[in-house]
Amino acid sequence: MLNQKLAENDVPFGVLAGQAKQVELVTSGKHGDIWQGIGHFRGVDEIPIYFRVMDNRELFTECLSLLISRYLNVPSPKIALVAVHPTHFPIHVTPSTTVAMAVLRDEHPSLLRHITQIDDSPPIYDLISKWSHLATAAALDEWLGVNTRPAGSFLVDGGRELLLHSFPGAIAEGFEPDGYIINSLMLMLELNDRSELGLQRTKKLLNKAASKFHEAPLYDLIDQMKLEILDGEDHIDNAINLLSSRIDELSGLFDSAIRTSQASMDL
Amino acid sequence: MKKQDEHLLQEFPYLPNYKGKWWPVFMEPIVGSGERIAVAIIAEGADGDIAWHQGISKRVMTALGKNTATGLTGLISTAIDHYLKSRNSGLHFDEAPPPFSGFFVGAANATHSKDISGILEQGIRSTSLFSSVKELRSQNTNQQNSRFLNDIRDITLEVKPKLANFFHQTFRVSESARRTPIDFIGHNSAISFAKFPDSARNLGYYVGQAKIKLWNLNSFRAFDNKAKNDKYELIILNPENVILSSLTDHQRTILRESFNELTMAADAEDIRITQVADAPKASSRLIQLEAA
Repeated sequence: MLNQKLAENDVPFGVLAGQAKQVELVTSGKHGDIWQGIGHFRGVDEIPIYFRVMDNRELFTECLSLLISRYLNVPSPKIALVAVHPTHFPIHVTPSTTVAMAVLRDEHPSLLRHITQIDDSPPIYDLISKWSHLATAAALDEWLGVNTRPAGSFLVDGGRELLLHSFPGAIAEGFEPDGYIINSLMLMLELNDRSELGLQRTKKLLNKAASKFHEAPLYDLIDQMKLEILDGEDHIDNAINLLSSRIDELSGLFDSAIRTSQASMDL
Repeated sequence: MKKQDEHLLQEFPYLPNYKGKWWPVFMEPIVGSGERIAVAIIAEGADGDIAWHQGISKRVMTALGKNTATGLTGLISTAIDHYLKSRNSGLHFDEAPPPFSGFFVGAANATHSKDISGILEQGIRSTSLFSSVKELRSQNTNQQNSRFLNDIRDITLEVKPKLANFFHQTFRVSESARRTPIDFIGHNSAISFAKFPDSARNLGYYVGQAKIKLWNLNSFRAFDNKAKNDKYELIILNPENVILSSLTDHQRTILRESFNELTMAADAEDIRITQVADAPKASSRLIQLEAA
């Protein structure tokens, strides 16, 4: 079972198939521009991708976060690493060949799209606040220390399903295991039902989701995708130490974030 | 670039050598509305090879109703004919005037792939929501299989023109049975030809086709037991010795295991399997078998 789940998380390495300036800007944001193009991968030919150029440290944390997310069955897209060259872009993005993180759109037709606005679009807000994986995703954000959840970090599949494809600020350097974050998803969950019973239920859902986090085989996930090349081994140890310690703090963090009048109720 | 970046970049595959461009062909169902549907993709390789594929799959066409489907298919074919003729007269697809109002060719997309069908597939995957990649692949696979067989036939007939009538044979096990094809039935041998892929595309399909050919040969052997043929052979074009750059280790293992499985099945039935690297070698093998 473990091997099967790890195999599903294989991260292919690819290159951009399009020639010069054949990528398109999808959306720009505080956390970088998202581009679309065609990736060539060994064994799967060429398929459309969304990708983002980032530094190695962020590449490492984003990939690890996505692998953990997929492992814990929080809907997340398949990812890949893609080598990109400055001439691929119509504007200056990178001074030399570098590695970008890509989301694969391997199904055809693929209706995966980025959400561009949350606040101005009530149906999207509604979609997120009623998402069946909201509690697990909120608990995961709390564990990884995701301090913002912009619209561009979600993909919609054209129906009711959402996918998390980005974890801005996750596993930040110097972040303390009991560090406080503004957890947007948890706030949405809380706003769904602010009654005492509702808040108690929310807290229980978060704790239940977090109880599975121990199962994520962090070192195996890192080994599998050669993440050690992206970042030094010290960083890997630091990231794993942070995540391992923070699991034990989660229950307390949920208690501080969701204020209830009574102590935990047995619901 | 940092040393670890260089180390990391070594892990990435090389780009395929084949260069080409693809163009989407759009149609406005309501002229002037601005709402466009990609109805076809045209691809042109740097070697001058041109291919196109309809952007609306047969399944979607069926849903439109017979009359609409026939009319729309005709309209798209006429439009593509027009663009191909314009290309012959030196105009690029995106420079050609529209054949009817409501037709537009999008901007060119320059890219790399294994061959022209790969370029076409990129265009379909990127643009055309109503199309079917599976339909394109099955069309390409059939074309490639028949191209391989036709190449063998052409090469053989240059040397041995008398063998012309022995290609593309069929037999029936009974009056009411459907005809079973055998690629070559000569005086001394019955031979079928199969192909293994040079990329991961349709790996399962090719292996399945080889098994069907083996099964057909075996049926023919049972049917033909009192006839003159004493050599039954399945000749497989296996580009493993030629190109395998686009296969992963896992896919190579599957390919090898499939070949071993086929060989074991053939051995049990006294049918020989031979691997060849190209059509000329397949033709030489055929002539050798038939001559002996």
